[in-house]
Amino acid sequence: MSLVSKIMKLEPSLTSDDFNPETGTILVLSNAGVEIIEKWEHPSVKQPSNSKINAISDDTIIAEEKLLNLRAERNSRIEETDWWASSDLTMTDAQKKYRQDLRDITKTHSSMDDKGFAWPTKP
Amino acid sequence: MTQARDLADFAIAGYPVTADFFVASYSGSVSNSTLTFPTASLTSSNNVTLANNVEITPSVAGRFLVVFYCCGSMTAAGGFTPSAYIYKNTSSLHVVSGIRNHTGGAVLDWPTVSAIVDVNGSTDYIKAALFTNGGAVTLSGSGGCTAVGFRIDQ
Repeated sequence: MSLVSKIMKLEPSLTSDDFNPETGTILVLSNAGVEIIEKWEHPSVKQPSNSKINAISDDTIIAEEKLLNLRAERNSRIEETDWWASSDLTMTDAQKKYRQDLRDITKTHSSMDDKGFAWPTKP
Repeated sequence: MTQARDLADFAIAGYPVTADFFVASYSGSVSNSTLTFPTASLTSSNNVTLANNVEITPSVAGRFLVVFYCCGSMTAAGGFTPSAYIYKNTSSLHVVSGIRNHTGGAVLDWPTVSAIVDVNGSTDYIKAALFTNGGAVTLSGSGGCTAVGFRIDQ
C-alpha cells in the first residue's frame, strides 16, 4: 500500500509536489514493489517514525482512496452537465434531480465497489 | 548466376551482425507520488540478463538505444503529471513529463522516453522508472508497458 498516502495522512501539510523526484524534498522509491523513504530533506516537516507510519492500516488508506476516486468521478459527471445551468437555458426537474443525486451519492456510498452501487441515470 | 549471400554481406563497418537487444515488459502498480521501478521480465533478449527484478544488464559493452513506454489503468480523475524515466545504474539519464487530463475509469499513459545508454558489458545496468502525482495506477503489462533496447555500436 502506498507509503506516500500514509505519510500524507500523518502530515496533512505535505502535497504531492513535495514528493516530485526532480523538485521535491522527499523521495519515496518503490523498487519492484518494495517502498522505502530514500530521501527526506523537507525544511519544516520532520520524517515520521516507522512505528507511526505502520500504525496506519492499509484498509484505512484503501477506503480513503476509494472515496477519493468516487468523489473525483462524481465531480467529473457533474462537470459534464454544467452547461445545463447556463443562463440562457432552464433546467428540467429531471436534470436538477440528476445533478442533486450525484451530489448526494457520497451520503449513501463510500466506494464505487459498494454492493448495489449505481450512478444515477442521466435524463 | 545467383550468388549466395548471408547477413554478413550486409554488415556495415561498426554495426553488429548479431543483434544484442532486449524487449522487457513491466507489471505491478505505481503508487501515488512514488518513484517506481516496476518489476520487469525479459520477453526476448540476446546477451542481456535481468537482475534484482528491475536491472537490465547487457553482457556486451556498447551503446544501447533504449525506448520505454507505458500505460496503466486507474479510476481517479484529474490533471496528472506522469513522468517516465530511463536510468543507468542509480542515475536518471533522461526523463519526459506530460500532462494527461484523465476523466476517470480509463487509462493513464506516460510519455514515451528514449535514451542512448553506454554500458560496460559487466556491471552497468539499465532500468526504467515511472512517476505520477495521481492515485494508484495498475500497469497494463506486456504490450502496454514495455522497454526495448538495441545495441547500436561498440
